[in-house]
Amino acid sequence: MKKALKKDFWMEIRKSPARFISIFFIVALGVAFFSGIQASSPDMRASGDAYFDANHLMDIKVVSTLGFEEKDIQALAGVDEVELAEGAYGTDVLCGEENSQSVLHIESINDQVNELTVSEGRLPEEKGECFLDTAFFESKEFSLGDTLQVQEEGENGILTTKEFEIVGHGSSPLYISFSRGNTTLGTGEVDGFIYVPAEAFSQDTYTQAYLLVDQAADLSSYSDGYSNLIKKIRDRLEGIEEEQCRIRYADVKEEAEEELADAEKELADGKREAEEELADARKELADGRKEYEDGLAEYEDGKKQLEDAKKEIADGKKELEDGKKQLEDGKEQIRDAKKQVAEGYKELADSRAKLTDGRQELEDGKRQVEEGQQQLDQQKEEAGLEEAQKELEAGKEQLAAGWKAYEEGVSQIQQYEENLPQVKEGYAQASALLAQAQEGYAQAQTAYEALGVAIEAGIATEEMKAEYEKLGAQIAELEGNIAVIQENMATLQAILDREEEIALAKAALPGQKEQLEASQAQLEAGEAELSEGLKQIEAAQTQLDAARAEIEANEAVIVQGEAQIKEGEAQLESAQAEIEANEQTIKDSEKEIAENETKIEDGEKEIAENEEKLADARKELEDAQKKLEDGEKEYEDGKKEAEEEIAEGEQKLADAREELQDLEVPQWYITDREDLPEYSEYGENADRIQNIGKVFPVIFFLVAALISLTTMTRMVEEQRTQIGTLKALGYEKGEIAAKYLRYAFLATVGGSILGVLFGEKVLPFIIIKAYGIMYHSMDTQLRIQYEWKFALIASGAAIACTMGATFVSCRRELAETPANLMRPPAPKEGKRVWLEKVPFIWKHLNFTWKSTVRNLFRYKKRFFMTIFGISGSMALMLVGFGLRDSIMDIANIQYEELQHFDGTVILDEDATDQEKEELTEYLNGQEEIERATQVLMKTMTADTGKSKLSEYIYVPGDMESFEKDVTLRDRKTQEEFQLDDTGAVISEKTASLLDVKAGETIVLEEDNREYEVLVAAVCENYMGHYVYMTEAVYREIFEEEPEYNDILITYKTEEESRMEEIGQEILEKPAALSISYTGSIKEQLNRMLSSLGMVIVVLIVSAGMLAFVVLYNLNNINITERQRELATLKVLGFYDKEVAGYVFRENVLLTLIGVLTGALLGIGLHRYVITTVEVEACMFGRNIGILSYLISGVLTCAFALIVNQVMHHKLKKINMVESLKSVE
Amino acid sequence: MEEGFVRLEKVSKIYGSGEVQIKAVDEIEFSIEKGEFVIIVGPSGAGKTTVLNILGGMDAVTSGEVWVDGKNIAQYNSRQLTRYRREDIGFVFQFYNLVPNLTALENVELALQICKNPLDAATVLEEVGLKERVKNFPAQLSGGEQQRVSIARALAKNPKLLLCDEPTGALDYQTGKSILKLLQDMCRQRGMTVIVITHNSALTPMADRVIKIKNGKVSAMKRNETPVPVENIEW
Repeated sequence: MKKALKKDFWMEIRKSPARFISIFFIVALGVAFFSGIQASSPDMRASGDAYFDANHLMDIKVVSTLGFEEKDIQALAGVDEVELAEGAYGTDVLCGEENSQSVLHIESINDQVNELTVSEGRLPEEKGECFLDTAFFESKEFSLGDTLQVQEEGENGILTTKEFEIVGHGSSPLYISFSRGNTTLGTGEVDGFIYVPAEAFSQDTYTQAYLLVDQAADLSSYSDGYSNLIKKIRDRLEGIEEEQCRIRYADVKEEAEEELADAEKELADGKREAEEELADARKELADGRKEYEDGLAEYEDGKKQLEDAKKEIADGKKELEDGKKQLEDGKEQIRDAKKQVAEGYKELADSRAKLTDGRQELEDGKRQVEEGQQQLDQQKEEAGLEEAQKELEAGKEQLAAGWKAYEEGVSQIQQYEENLPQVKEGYAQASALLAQAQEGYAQAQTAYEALGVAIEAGIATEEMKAEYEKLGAQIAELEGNIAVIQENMATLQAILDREEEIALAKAALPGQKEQLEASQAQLEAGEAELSEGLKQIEAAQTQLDAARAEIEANEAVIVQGEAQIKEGEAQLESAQAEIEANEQTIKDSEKEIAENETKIEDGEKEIAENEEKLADARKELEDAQKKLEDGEKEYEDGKKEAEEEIAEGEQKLADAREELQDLEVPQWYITDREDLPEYSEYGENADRIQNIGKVFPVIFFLVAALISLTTMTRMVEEQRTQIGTLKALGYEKGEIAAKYLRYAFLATVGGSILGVLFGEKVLPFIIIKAYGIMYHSMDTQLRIQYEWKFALIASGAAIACTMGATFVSCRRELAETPANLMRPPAPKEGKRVWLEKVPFIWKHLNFTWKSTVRNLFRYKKRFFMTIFGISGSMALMLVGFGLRDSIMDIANIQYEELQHFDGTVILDEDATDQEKEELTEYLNGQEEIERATQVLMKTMTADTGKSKLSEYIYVPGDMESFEKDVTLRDRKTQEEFQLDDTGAVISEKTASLLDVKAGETIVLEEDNREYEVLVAAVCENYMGHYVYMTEAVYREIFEEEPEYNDILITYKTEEESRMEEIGQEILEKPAALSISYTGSIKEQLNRMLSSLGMVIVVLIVSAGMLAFVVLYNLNNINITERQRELATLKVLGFYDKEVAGYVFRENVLLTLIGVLTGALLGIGLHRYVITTVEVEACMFGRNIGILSYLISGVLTCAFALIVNQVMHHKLKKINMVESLKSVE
Repeated sequence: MEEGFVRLEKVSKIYGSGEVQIKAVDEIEFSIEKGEFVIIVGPSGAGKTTVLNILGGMDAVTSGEVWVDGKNIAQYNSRQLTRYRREDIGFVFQFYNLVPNLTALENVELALQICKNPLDAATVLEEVGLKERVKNFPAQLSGGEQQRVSIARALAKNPKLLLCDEPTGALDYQTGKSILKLLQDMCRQRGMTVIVITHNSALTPMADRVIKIKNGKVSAMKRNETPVPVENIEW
């Protein structure tokens, strides 16, 4: 290569790492996936084989019905190409408690075959030690050093010890998965294995022999070469079988015949001895019986006498009882009477007490009355009512005097007042008179004096002396008058003086009157008080009088009461007397009765004594009888025993004879690895992976190749100018193309190498490890080799694709002239697309949308590439999810929706009708069993031309139950239908493998006989091949009555442990050989399929990765191609978002279209993958769940979004200056 | 340099960093009046395209100020620059850069749908003389017609500034002339400021202003008082 070109080449890679890496990884993914999945299957088998070889797994196992002796083993070892033969012991035992009983398969440890792998502890070395199944060890939570107790069923155990110390646990190559095989014990399924040293078995003959075949280890277990080799050896073994069996038969028969002869002799001796002993016994018994009968008669007489005496006594007793009863009645009466009297006395005493109380009360009353009178009197006295009355009277008198004085005063005053003018007048008169009189006196005096002087003077004349004397008399009279007048006047004056006094008195009058009135009022009040007091006193007096009267009345009553009491007392006394009299009478009677009783007791005593005597006699008699009976029984027993023994002996002899007669020439059961539990399933799983590898990765690879191809084509087209330049410079076509070819080669080869290195190591590893979950030991010897075949196919195809595409596009470009090349390519014409003819839609699109739509349609190649890439990835993911849908459900559909029974009881072919009847009765009677259906179930084969299918012929004994046991329906329409006499219903897979439809016939084979069966309908079925037919159809086809050999049972309970308990009870019935449970089949199936689930995860993840890479690559191409356009948009002022939208709209549309077409593609692909992946024995579901479509679609879209996000950054970085460049 | 519709002040653009630094434009300064028809001329590598990129808002300056219609776009961030391109700038490419699967009309409309007050696309296309070809795809048009579409696309945005990068570079003589005439006419009729970048100094007489660039600097700038119609120029 020229230096410049070399440089250019490396620069090209450096410049566009994304493209290079895209191709690199897409190729790597495709190759890894294709070769990895393809390689998984051989790797699985190789790893399995490596494990088997490492543990020297037996190639052939021979079991003989009569066991093997050492010489048989020798014979086996002597067969051509048999490397070695080793005898072994084995049987099934039970262990554990009633409710959690487990069945273990116990086997002796082999020296050279079936090497055990110890997980913990060590292998047993001594008789009492054992090595346990790890799964069982862990499930029962044992620990090393624990002891395990086992029981054998039946009498003829072959174990010498039943107690083992667990010294280790691990695995055996005989059991590669969970299943431990079936048994006739316990639940019918073996729960685990246990290995013990050979010494633990008592047998001298081996139960089985293990063979290793020369060169077999060199062949892979699952290969045809191995199968052929084993078949060859098996044929050879079958060749010597007859001879060996005959020898063995002769040995056994001879031995048995000798034993038989001995036994016959022994029996004859025994018979004679027994007969003699029996005769003696019979005689003794007869004597005894006679004695007994005499005694019995005597006893009967005594018994009768006693009965009479007893009757007499009974009569006497009865009379006595009557007397006693009367007495009791009398006593009762007396007691009543006494009681009455006592009550009477009590009453009397009460009355007396009451009377006394009454009297007392009366006395109190009287005293009270007296006291009341006294009080009253005292009160009266104290109140001084009489005095008060007197005072009142005096007061009244005083008042009256007062009033009188007052009135007098008033009248005096009135009189005085009336007289006062007169007095005044009189006084005035008197005053006038006095004045007159004084004047007269004064005159008279003057005259007298004058005369007196005159007289004296003697002048006086006697007329003058007579006038003197007359005057003297007059003067004296006048003096008298004046005195009278003065006296009158004094009186008058006094009267007049009293005027003031009177006025005063008059003034005092009203006061006096008031005083008087007040005292009158007082007086009246006093009077009222007085009369009140009187009244009170009178009332009190009245009360007192009333009380007194009452008292008097009461006194009368009391007196009367006293009289009555006295009377009562008298009565009571007389009653008492009467009672006493009666009592005496009773006492007399009692005495009489007591006397009679004594008499009777004496009689009874006598009788009792006699009875006792009688009882003793009876007892004696009974004893005698019992002895007699015992003797007889003993005799009978002895006789029977002897007879039985003899019969048994005879039976045994007969049995032995029969057995000897029946003793068949032993048979060998030759089995190989194929018959080991789950050995073939592992192979089938490997096949499944292989089948997956046939389709799925191819599609995967196709997508990958297509994408790398597109990328290369694009690259060449992009570099058109450069190619032109180089061409113009004079480089040769080859040199120019070399660059692209090299580029493609480097990327593809690099990717392929990485893919092979990675894929062929990692994928098989993941898959084998996934299966290791189920096949525990199968991943211990990993044999992951590079399968060059697949590596080369994948890499070759990848290289051829990309190189081819590069070559073609280079050639096309190089065919043009340099000038043309250097000119920009005539731009692809813009074309109107059909959408434009729908103006309704078109007019509503804006320019970017228009451009998008036109873009999509314009670059058809890119369009289809993208769609194919996306839809391919989508389809792959959908297939991955769809596989999961199809596979995960079949166990549930099969055993829940289609077959409803819970278990199958397999009947012992040799069981008698009675035994079968017993089992049926038990099953029908057991309450927890909902129904039990007898069915005929047998295997026949059907030839597809390529292989032979094993078909279950299923003939139900009862159509009604059948409809409950099995649902027949069409898978597509889900329409259910009935089984009828028109023909057989076959399962779908059978129909498709045999390519028949309803109305056609299939041929079934059994023992080289062929039977034609008309197919009435095809039913949905996933596991196994079934041919359902009615009894009538069966009779017609096989010309025989169906012999029911299985019973399908359905429990009412859902509880598994309970089912197993009932199962154990069923297995106790002799007619039941074993039970298989639908639940455990389902579980096993689910387990198997779940490991396929891991594989599916690998598929889905890979498909997802592919989808991502594809989307990334396509977007990358899209953007690189249109950089100029995008730069222009940027210059025009489109925002980043708008530019991104311009591109992504296209991506989104493409993704959506891809998802839709991918869904369609996925449906087809899924259908194809499913039919390819399926093994013959089962059918997978055909439907993909809605959710799977959704998840796949969403994942694809999510990848697209992530890619777009990444691309967005790339878009941002596009330099606007690009737009100024010329078109390349 | 005081006033001017477009004004560059000490604008420098340095590519690369560290030891190797290339000064594409070195403290360049010039100013353009509104409505002028400007030709920037210079040999290859003189920095014309860099100036155009800066003016077009496609590239940022290292230092200096770029005033367009009173705004310093040198300080714009990328989003502001996008808006500037969107609203103020019309760009005519040397290689037309039409979107291949949109018709002529749609290509113009594509630019219009993002701008504020566009002209009518059909009218503009008619003005550039493509009335009959509006429904053709670019591939169905000749180079000159494609460039006319390109010009129409730029004009229809009604930009403040029409930038043309070697608009005749990919065209033959006659077609090139007609395109230049179209540009000149648009400038005259619409009073639009048009900046044409070319290496062909023969075109300078037709410009109102000629800016000569050499080694990243303005080597000469002259105002042409009597521009010659393009028809009269031969080269």
